[in-house]
Amino acid sequence: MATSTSTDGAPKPLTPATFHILLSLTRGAIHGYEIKRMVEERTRGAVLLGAGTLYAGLRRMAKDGLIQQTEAPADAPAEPGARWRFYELTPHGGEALEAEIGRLEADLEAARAAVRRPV
Amino acid sequence: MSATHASAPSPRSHRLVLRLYPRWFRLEFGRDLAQHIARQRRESRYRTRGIGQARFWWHVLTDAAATSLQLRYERLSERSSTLRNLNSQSPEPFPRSGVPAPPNGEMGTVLDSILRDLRHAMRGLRQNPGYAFVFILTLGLGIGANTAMFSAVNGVLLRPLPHEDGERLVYLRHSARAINVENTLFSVPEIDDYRQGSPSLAAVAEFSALNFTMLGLDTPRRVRAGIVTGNYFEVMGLSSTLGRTIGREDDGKEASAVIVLSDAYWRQAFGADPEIVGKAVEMNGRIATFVGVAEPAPPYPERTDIYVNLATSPHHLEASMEDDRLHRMTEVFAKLSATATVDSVRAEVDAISDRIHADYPESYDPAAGFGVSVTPLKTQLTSRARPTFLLLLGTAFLVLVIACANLANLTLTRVLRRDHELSIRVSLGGSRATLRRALLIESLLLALAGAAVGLVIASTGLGLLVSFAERFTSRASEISLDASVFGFALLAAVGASVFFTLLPPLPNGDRLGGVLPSGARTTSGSGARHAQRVLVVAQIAVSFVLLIGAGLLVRTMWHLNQVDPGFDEAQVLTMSIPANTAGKAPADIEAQYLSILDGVEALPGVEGAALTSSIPLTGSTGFTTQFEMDVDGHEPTSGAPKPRADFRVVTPGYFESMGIELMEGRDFVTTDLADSQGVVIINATMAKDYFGDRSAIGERIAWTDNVMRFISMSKDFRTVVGVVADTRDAGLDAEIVHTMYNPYRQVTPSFTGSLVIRTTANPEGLMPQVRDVVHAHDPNQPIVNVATIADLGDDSVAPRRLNAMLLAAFATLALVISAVGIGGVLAFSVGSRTKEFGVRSALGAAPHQVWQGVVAEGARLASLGVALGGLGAVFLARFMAGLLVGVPALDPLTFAAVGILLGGVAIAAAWLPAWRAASVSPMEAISAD
Repeated sequence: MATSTSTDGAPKPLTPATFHILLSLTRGAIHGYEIKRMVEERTRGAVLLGAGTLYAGLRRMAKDGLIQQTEAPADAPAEPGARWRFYELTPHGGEALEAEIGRLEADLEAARAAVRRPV
Repeated sequence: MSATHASAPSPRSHRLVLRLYPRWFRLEFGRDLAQHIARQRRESRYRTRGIGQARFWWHVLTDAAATSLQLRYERLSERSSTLRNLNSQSPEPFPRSGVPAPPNGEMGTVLDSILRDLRHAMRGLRQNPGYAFVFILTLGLGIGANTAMFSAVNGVLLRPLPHEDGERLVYLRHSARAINVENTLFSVPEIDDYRQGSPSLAAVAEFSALNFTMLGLDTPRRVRAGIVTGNYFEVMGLSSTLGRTIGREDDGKEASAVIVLSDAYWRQAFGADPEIVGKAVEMNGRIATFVGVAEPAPPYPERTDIYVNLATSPHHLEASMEDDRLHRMTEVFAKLSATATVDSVRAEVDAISDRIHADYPESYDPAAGFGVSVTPLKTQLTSRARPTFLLLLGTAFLVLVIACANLANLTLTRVLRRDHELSIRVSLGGSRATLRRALLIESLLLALAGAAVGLVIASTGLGLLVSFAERFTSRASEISLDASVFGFALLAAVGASVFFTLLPPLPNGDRLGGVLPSGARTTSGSGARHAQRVLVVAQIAVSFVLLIGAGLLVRTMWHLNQVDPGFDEAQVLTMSIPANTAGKAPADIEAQYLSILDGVEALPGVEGAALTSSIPLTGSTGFTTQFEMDVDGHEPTSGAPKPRADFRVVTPGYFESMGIELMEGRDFVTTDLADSQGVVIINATMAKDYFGDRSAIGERIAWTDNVMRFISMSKDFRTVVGVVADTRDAGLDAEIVHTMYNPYRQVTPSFTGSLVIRTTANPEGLMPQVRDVVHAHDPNQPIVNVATIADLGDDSVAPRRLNAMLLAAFATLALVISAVGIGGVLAFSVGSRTKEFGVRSALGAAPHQVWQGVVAEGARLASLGVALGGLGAVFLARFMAGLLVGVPALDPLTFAAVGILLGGVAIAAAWLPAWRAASVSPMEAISAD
């Protein structure tokens, strides 16, 4: 995506919500509620996604090419009467996630170095 | 993953939530959203009734509101710029400096950041639902109470009258103050004197009210008629909405009888049928024609159904009505001439009064204190409502003051509490202006939500207020929701919250102390804390004032509940059966009443029944029934007014039916006839005042009032045959007056007309049989004002009770808000002094010492507030003295009780924070930062 980098060319940080949604999709195609459930589980409730926030986010991420809609996977649990939209990562989404993980690692390292330095 | 309910259709409430989202978004994601929300609702944390459900709705609604706002904005910018990176504008709590501005110019930047702030504020509030809830509710109550109360005051006291040229209308009242006759009305000769003698009065109109029976419609109707002169509508500045009004051509004995309907009665009785104009009915043995409908206007001095010309009322055509100076039954309205003032009219009227008092000494007993007052009609219409309404408006305003103080406190606390967070943001490069704007937007958001709640409360409360106001003034129907005061209350609330968002100092960018573990935790100065304490003291002081007001009114009600009305209130049914006297001989009317009484007494379930001239507790009916009398052997003191007593007519068995104790002598009997010895029964106060401890039986008293000739009563002495207990006939809050009862057969029957029935069972259940008995005698006989005595007692104090309830509600509200204020401030104070408490406990302070310190702090704030409030309460109590019965304005019991209550609430509110402080351990204090 052309504008996902800031002016100096370095990758721009993803919002926590975007980051966690991408992370949830690494295990394969799932639907919105399942994403929310996984994010809450992973962050122990620190990142709460309201329904509107979630679907608005999914819509925006799809527009940005980070994710795309897909068929329900064959192994999806049967939910009689329910019809969900399923999402999966795009290659670009995978790259953005990798970039973010790299950025976080760098940040963490810098932070650790700063803390170990005598005050 | 449970999926059992996934297929259930989403409930209506969920679909309503979906409506918050933009349509295009709903089309795309509606199904997923609905399934999602349904699943979410079954999560364990939302499952508890009450709290869980509230949390669910809070989360879902705030999420929907925030997202939909953002989506709409996104859609707009998508349209204007397809090149936009949507990911980059996802909101961040506080924008860092150095993030490039979005590419659509200045406006975009401002809009962008405001939206970001809005969204952040929404998020912040979602995390603090308690704060948001208290803020919105407090503000809503304050705004709602004020909007409703001011709307009422504006509609009743401030707005101009609907009458054309209404500012020039005056009302003349003839009183005899020394004998406690507030309104003795005017006779026609008197009116002519004032009309001719006062050049300041451009025109003088006459009005008197009587009950008539209208025949010739589907059922006979008893109507209250205003008998008016032909210039009445012209003087009052009222026109007709249909047909015509009564005009000068309708004056004179020879005029045909005409009726103008009041707007209210036209709607109520005829369903606003325009065809009614031109129809005729029979009234007082004459044919009268409906000629029009009057435009709506507040009725005064009383509500009348119709207006008729003088020719319609046989009574007004009698010679005595025109010539007799003592035949007083007319109210007077006048219009000022162009150059006149109310003062100039007063001067002229006083001069005329002096002249006629000198010219006709026999008509004006100097000791009675006759006089004529001149009052602008608008003032007169609202004189009863004014003190009550101003009191309630003041009360509502005080509630708003308390509410604003509490909001300011909440806002301050919230800013102080977030000090740490704000310091971090500043040190990360967020500008202070950005912080201010974010806080401001949060306050405004809450203020708007509070205003919306207030509007709902006001419009709900207004209906109640209108029915309340109807008890005080006929202008109640003019009350409507007032936009200006809503605006004012909103501004006050927004102003308060904005002011206190700007007041606390924000952390400086160059000071990183806030983030460092060793640093002092707080940066905001003692100024803000001092402000908090001042606010709490103010809240307590104002609450004290309100509680005193409410306390005094509640004590008044309590006193009235203890008042012995003098009769037994249980199971007595009352009603008026006003005789249609037209074309009937007095003896026939008398016989018909007695026959109806016999029929009612014979009904099963009737223990006793009687006729009476007036039903107790219904208050004054507009004209006085107090007449001059003469007690044999008592020389009236010279210079003092002639003695008077209330005139009553009853049949034998009245006292027993009403449960009025016969203290001495006998009841009336059926042999007390017109040609037998004249007898009377007097009440206990009268007996004591005239005869002291000696028995009153056998004493002689005569009615000597000049009006006796109008009711064909002789002025002969009558013998006292009985003494009965005092009753409060004019209402539970009325004084006891001297009362003299006359036997039915010794008075002309036009004075009777009311029936009291003591029943063995449910009084109302008897009504159908009673109606049958009455209608068997005359199918055209109206029956009105059916009520039990218990209802009438309630009614007679209803305005006071409503008053007390409203004020008590306001005061309770104030108390709750203040308690929250004290508790909140102390809790915050304790929270920020964790380290201090820990150190003290490490140095050996016992928990109870720490605990006492905090409670003492609460008590100190409370006593300061009570002391200040005491001063205010003294003023309020003086103002309220007129509304109190049986309670002194500076009632020590009320003051003491309110002081104790408020002190108790303050200490209770301090309890939790004190307990928290006492339980801080040294370890906890060390790790507090």
